[in-house]
Amino acid sequence: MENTDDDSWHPLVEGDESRHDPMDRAAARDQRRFLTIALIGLAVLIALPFVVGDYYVSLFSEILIFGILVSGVNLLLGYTGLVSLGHASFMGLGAYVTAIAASLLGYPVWLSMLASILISLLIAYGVGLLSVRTKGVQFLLITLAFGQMFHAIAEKTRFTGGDDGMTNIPRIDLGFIGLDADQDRVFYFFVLVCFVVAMLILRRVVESPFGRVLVGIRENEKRMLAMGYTTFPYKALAFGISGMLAGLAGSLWVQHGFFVNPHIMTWELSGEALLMVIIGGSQSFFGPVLGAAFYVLAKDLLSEITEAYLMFFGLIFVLVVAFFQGGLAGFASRFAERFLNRKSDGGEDKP
Amino acid sequence: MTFFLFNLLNGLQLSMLIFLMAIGLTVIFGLMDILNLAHGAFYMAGAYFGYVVFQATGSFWIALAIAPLLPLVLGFLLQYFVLQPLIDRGRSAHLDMALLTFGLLFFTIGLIDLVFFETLGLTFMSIDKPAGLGSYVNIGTFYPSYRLFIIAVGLLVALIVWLLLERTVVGAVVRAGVDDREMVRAMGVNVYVVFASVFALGCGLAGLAGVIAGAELSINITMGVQILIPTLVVVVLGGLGSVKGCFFGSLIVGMTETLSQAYVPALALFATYLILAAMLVFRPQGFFGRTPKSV
Amino acid sequence: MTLVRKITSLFAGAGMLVAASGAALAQEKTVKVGLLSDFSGVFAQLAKDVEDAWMLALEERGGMVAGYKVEIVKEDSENSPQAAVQKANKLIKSDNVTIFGGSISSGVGIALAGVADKEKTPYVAGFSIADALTGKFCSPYVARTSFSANALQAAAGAYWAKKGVKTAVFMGPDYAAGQAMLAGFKNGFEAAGGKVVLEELTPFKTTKDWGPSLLKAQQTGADMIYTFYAGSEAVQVVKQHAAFGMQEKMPLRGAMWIYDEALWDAMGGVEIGAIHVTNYTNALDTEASERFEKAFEAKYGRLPVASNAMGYTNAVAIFDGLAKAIEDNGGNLPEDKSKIIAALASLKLYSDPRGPVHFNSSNNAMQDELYMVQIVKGDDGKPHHKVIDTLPYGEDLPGCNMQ
Repeated sequence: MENTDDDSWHPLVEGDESRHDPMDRAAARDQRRFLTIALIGLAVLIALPFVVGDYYVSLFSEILIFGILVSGVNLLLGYTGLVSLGHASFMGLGAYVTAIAASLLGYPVWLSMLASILISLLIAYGVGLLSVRTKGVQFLLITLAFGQMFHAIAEKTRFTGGDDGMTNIPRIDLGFIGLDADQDRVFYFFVLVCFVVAMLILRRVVESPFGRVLVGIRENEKRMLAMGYTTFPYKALAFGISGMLAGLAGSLWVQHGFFVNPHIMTWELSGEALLMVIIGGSQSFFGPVLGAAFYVLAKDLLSEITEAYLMFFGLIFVLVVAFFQGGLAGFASRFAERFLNRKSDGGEDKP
Repeated sequence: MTFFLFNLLNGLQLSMLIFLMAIGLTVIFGLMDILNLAHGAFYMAGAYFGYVVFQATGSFWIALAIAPLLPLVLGFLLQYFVLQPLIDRGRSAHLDMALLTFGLLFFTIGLIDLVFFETLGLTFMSIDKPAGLGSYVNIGTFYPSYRLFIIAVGLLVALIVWLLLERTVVGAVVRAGVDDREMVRAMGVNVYVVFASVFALGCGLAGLAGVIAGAELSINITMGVQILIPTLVVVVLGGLGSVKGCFFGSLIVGMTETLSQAYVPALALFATYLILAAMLVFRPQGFFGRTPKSV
Repeated sequence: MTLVRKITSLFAGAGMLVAASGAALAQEKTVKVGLLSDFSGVFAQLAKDVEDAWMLALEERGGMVAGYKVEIVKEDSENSPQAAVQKANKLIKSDNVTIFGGSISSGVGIALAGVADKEKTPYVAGFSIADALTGKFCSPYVARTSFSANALQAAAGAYWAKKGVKTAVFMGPDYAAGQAMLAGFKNGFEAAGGKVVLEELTPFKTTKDWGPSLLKAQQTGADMIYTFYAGSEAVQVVKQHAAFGMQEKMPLRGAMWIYDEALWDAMGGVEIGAIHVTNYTNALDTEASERFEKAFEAKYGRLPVASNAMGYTNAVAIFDGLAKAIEDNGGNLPEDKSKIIAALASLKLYSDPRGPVHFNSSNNAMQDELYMVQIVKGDDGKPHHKVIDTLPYGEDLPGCNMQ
C-alpha cells in the first residue's frame, strides 16, 4: 500500500502551540459562535415538544436521529473529504444489534445500546482500515460494496426474520426516574439527550488535534504526508467514529419505530444522508443537522402534494452543489453576518 | 455441458448489456474525471423515450434509432452548459460532479414518476421485440434470438468504439486528452467541444442500452438505479478510463452474476461485491487502470 | 386544503388539541378512517386500485356509517415499513383516526400490526398476505380482509397435484413473501402427492436475468414451473420464459400477481393461454360480482381487477364493521376500539364480489372458494380472463395466540 514508511501512530500535532497564538482570536470567536448557536438551538429543541402536536414530536425525534447519522457522515465528507455510500449499513448494524440483544436475547435496552455503539465502532473501524487506502471514486464504491454486503447478510439471516424484519422491539426503560419512554414526548427527550452527547463528542473530536489532521487531509493530503503524518490511521479512526454515530442513530431508530428490517441498510438511505449533509452545508458543524431537519420536514410537506418528491430534492441538491456550496448553513451564516454588521451585537439564530 | 454453454451465453448477454452502459461512463471518466452518476438517468431516458416512439410508430427499429438521440442531446447540453462551466469556476470534477449528477439521477427518477405514473397512469411498460427477434432459435436447446441480438450489438459497439479510439484522428485526440489534457489544448483543438461530444456519445450509448433493455426486461422506475451499480462495479474493476478494462470488467461482472446464480445461488447476492471489495483492497487502480492523476 | 391541515396540526399544541376536538364534537359526528397504502414504490398501482375501491364503497354508503360522517385521511407508506410506522403514528396521534387499513406490502403489514397493537388502534390489512400477520403477530386490534399466503397457495398446490401434475419447480424471489408462498404451495402440492424437485429462489429486487434459473428448471424436466413474482419482475420472468420456448414443455403457473392485468400490456401477448389461481376475476358471473362490476364501471369507466375487489372487501369490512360497532354501542363509537375489530370479524359478507367472505378466529378473511382462470384472447382481440375451474379455499397456518 501507499506511503506507509512510518506506521507508528504519530504523536498528535507538535506544532499545536505555535499555531495556537495567531488563531487565538479567531478560535475564541468561533467558540463563542458555536456556543450561541448550540444554546439557542438547545432551547428551541427543549421547548419544541410543548408547542407542537404529537405527530410532530415523533417527527422531530426522527430529525434528531438523522441528525446524529448525518453529523457522523459529515465527519468524513466535510472534515476529511471522503464520500461514503455505505453508512446506512452501520445505522442498520446498530439497529439490528439493539433489536437482537433487547428483543431476542432479552438484555436491557441500555446495555443493548452500548453494544450497538461498540460493535458499530469496531466494525466500522475494520471496514475503515480496508477502505481508506482508497480515495475519491474508489472510496465511494468500496463503501458501497461493503454496505451492499451487509445488506445482503441482513436479507439472508433467518433468525432476524430476513426481509420481514423484527417488530415489537422495546424502548429504553426509564422507570428508574419514573418516566415511560413509550410516550413520544419522553422518548423525544431521551433522543435529545443522546443527540446532545453525540454532538459534544463530535465537537471534541473535530476541535482536537486529531480533527485538525483530518481537515489537513481534506485540504492537501500530500502536504500532510510530507509533514510526516501517516494519514491512514487517522482516516480509519474517523471512519470508525462516523460509523459509531451511525450505529447510535440506528439503535435509537429501532426504538423509535419499534421495528427494523433490512430496508434501513439500502444504499438509497446512504444517498439520502448525503443529500441532507450537502443541502444543510458540509462546511459547518451544525449544517448537516439543519439539512436533516429540512429534508424530513420538506418531505413530510411535499408528500401531501405529490409522491414524486424525489424530483424536488434532486433539484435542490443540484442547485446547492452548483451554486450554494455552503448549503443552508452557509446561507444562514451569511445572512447573520449581514445582520451582525448592521447591529454591533446580536445573537445568531439557528433557523 | 450444454447447460454450462448456455449459461455462458446468458452471461455474455448480460455482460454486453452492462458494457453498453459502462463504456460511456468509463470514457467520460478517463477524459474528464467526471463520475457521471446520472448515467442511470440517461439509460432511463432512452428506455422511456423509446417506449414513446414505439407507441407512436409501432416499430422497434425506429425506436432503437431515434430514442438514443434524446439522451445524446441532453448529455451534450449538460456537459457543455452546466458541468464544464462549473468545473471552470472551481468546482472539483471528482467530488462535486459526482454529487451533482447523483442529485440529477434523483431528479430524473422523480420527474419520470410524475409524468408517466402520476400523470399518465403508466407503471409497467415494455417495447415489443421486432419480428424475427421475438422468438427463439433451436441450437441444441431453444435459445431466445433476442439474446443473440444483444450479444451482437454489444460486440459491434465494442468494435466500433475501439476502432474510433484507436484508428481515427478524433480517437487520437481523445486518447491524448486522457493522458494529458494540456497537450490537447496546445494542439489547438477546442477541448470543450470534444469533451461534450464524448460525454454525449456516452449518454447516447446508455440510451441505446435503455431501448434494448426496454424490450428484454421491462421499463420501470427502478431500472436506472438497478443497472447503475453493476455498471460502476465494471468501471472500477476494469480501471477507471480504460476501454479494454471496461470490456473485460463487463465480462467479469456479467459472468459472475450469471454463473453464481446458476451454480451457487447462496452467493449470488454477494459475489460481485466480494470481487469488487477484494479488488479495491488489493489493486485499487483496477485491472487495466492507471493511477489517478489527481488526488 | 391539505396544506392548511398540515400547518394547523403543526401548531396544534397539546392544550389546543383538546379544545379543537371538543369543538368538533359539538358540530357533527365524524369518524376518521386512515387509508395507509403504498402509493409510491413498486406497489403504487395496487395501492391506487385499493383507493378506487374504497371510494366506491364509501359512495355507496353516502359517505356515512351509522350516523357518523366518514372522513378518509390518506397517507403514503412508500412500500417501506419505516415510513409506514411513521405515517401510522401520524394518523393515530395527529389525525386521530379511529381505524386504518389498505396496506399492500407484507413487510409494511407486519410493521403496522405492531403499531396497531401498541397504540390500541384497529388496523385492517388490505393485502399484506404474510402468514405471520394473523399468525405470530395476531392481535385483537388487527384483522385482514385478503387471505394468508398459505390459504391461497396450499389450495393451488393441492389442485395441481390432483390434476395429475407430478413434479414442479418453484421459482420466486428470495425474501419472506417468496419463501412463504413456496412453503404454502409445497404444503398443498406434496400432501396431495406431487413433488417439488427444485426450489429456485432468486435474489430479491437485484436479479437482472432469469436465464440461469430457467435453464436450471429445464434441466429438471419437471411438469410445470410454479412461481410467485410481482410487478416488473413478473413481466421479465414471463417474457423470458416464453423467449426460451418453454411455454409448451413446462408451463409457467402461479397466482394472480404473476399475470396481473396491469402487466398484460408490458408482456406483449405472451400471457395468452396462461393459467393461474385467483380469488377474484371480473369474468365471474355471480350476482354479487356482476353488481360490483357494473357499479365500478359506472364510476371509473373500466372493469375492476382483483386488487379492486380486495380493496372493496377491505373498505366494506371497515365501514360495516364500524357501523356494527357503533350500533352495538347505542349509536356511539365504543371506547374500547378492539370492539370494532370484534364487530368486523363477526360480519358475514354474503354479497362480496369475490364470493361469500367471513372471518376466522384470528380475524383473517376466509372465502368459500377460489378460481382457476385462463387468459384468453377475446372477440375484441384483447386478453380476458376465463374461469376454467373452482377449487376449495385453503387453511391458515397455526400460530395465532390471542389473549
